[in-house]
Amino acid sequence: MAERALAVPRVSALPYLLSAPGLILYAVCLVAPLAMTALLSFYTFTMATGISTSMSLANYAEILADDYFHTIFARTFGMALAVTLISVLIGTPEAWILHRMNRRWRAAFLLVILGPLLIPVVVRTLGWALFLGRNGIVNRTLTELGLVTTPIEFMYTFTGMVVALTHVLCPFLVLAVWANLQRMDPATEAAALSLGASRTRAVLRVVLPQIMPGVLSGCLIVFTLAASAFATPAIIGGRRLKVAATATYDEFLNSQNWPLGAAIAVLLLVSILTIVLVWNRAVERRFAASFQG
Amino acid sequence: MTEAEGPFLRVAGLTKRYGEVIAVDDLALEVSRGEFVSLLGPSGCGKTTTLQMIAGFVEPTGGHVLIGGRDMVRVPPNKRNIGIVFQSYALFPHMTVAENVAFGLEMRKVPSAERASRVRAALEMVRLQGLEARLPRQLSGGQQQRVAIARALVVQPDLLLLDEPLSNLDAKLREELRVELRDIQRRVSITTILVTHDQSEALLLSDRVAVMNHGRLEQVATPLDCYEKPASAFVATFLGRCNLLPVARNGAGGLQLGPATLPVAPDTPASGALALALRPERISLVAEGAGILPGTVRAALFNGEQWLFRIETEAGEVQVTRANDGAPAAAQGTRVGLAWDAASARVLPVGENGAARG
Ligand SMILES: Nc1ncnc2c1ncn2[C@@H]1O[C@H](COP(=O)(O)OP(=O)(O)OP(=O)(O)O)[C@@H](O)[C@H]1O
Ligand SMILES: [Mg+2]
Repeated sequence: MAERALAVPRVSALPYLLSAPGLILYAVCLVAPLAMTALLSFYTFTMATGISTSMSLANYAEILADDYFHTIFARTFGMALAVTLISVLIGTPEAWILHRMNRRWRAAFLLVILGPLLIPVVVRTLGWALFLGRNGIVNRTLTELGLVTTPIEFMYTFTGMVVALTHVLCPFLVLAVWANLQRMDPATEAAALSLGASRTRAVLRVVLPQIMPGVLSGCLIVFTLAASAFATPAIIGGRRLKVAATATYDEFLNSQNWPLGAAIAVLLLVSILTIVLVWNRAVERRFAASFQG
Repeated sequence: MTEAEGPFLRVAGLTKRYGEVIAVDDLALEVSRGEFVSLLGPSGCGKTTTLQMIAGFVEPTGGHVLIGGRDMVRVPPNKRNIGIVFQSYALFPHMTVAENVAFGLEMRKVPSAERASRVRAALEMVRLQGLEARLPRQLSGGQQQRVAIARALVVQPDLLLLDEPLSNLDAKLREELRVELRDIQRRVSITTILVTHDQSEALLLSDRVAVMNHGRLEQVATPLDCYEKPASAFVATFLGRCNLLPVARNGAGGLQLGPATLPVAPDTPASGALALALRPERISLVAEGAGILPGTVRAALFNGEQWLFRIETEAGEVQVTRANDGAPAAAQGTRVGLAWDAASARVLPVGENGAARG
């Protein structure tokens, strides 16, 4: 087909032709594995016979009926929600401060903020484990000061996962908000001040509404990445505190139940996609009036 | 606000340094109540910085800003009661026209009934009735500009600051809004400072023009005086067109201009390099041999309204304009004499930044 198009080059075909290599790569690398995973999720598995290609909805029925999986999905989205909320609360002011900084300091602080993204996940997570672990610096200090008698648990806890994930995902929110702040006309804040608004009022009434699109899209990025995160929950939650991604991994590698693992993955993907779409629609409806050109 | 005598706004010794750069240098300016003063100057001369220091957004390195006798340097911008129209208008994009205009009243806790009527009156003043519910991006540039003016004026500020408020508009709209701006300013008789690099805007609108260059004030005077009696070569060339012809004192107590000798006016600077400033429209072409300075027509350009001649003389090239009266003009190559009224010529010192601009 590509050859025919080459032989008869029409102007309108050129863009497709030029983007064909990219599109093919995209199809091979993304669509194909996804389609195969989706297909796999309908296969059946028994301990005795392994995977058979007879199609059924049994895997989905099992997940939807089993409390064990309910807990995992609730934990996954609860964790994603908590990470998102904390990221908003920390990241938005952080972006604001970054925006107000002068050039020289900004470069340095940008590096600090983006730091977590540059450190390999294992190193970073182990760092948290050392810092907050049973014999970590925080617990030792607290015990020595007599503030706690038993060390605060961090490893294998929900809190631990949320803290470690927020650390690495918050930068995405900062960047989204910061990009939005740079598009904002700085004179609007000055205008608010000149009209008698206090600094706080100017931020609340004039700056914040203008950066809401950035905050909301940042939320979406953080939520999606948190809900599908694997490495951090795997190290901190381990097999005691599974989330959807680690549960999928377990089904594949430990139980060898590939179809069930695939079904979990597909459910995770579908739920995230649904949330993304609903969220986007809501945001667009709310802000279309004032922001899209 | 209380004192009646003396200038309403007084700026003294105002200086702003950014590291090595001196953006505003020891600026002094007095503006009386209700007066319209323009800060005019080329790009980068420190106009915006001056305005921002008056508004309180930029902290001066030194000097004072007094409004109604009160030193404002330590007063935060939201306590200065100054209305500002920004170059970008800076309308709040997420608020409707009415909400934008009401914002300042809301911050001043004006009760909502009064707020509504004042917003209505302000929008009426700028002829925007019926657009209350629109968002800024649904307005044309001229309409946005008017919202910005209404928003600044509705709070009845003591001082109105305008930073190139017309520069984002096309030429025709700019002319219309100029007139309107002046009308509004007269009607509410508010003390106003306009920043602009457009000389005709400054001349048309202001009671007085303050010409700035390299962070310094070169001259503060009425538009007519700035044009007729420029204090420096820079002012002469920045406001309108002006020939700057090198002159020198000669031994005989006169001024040598090429082959011609001119009498020395009493206000001629005693030393330094001098130039004769002559407006092109004040020079007339007369027959060869007559007039003050002989020359040859190098080009005669016609634009309908007027003729522009470029005349080569021993003192350098001189530009002469003449209104078109229907008669044919001197052709290229003609030898002519240049004549002018002594009162139209001024002798000015030329410093390092006095380069002629034609
Ligand atoms: N924040 C800053 N840091 C460093 N230098 C600055 C800063 N703001 C202004 N300057 C410098 O100060 C000088 C005056 O700037 P200003 O913005 O007041 O000029 P302007 O007269 O308003 O020019 P324009 O007509 O282009 O708006 C310029 O040389 C500019 O580069
Ligand atoms: Mg400026």
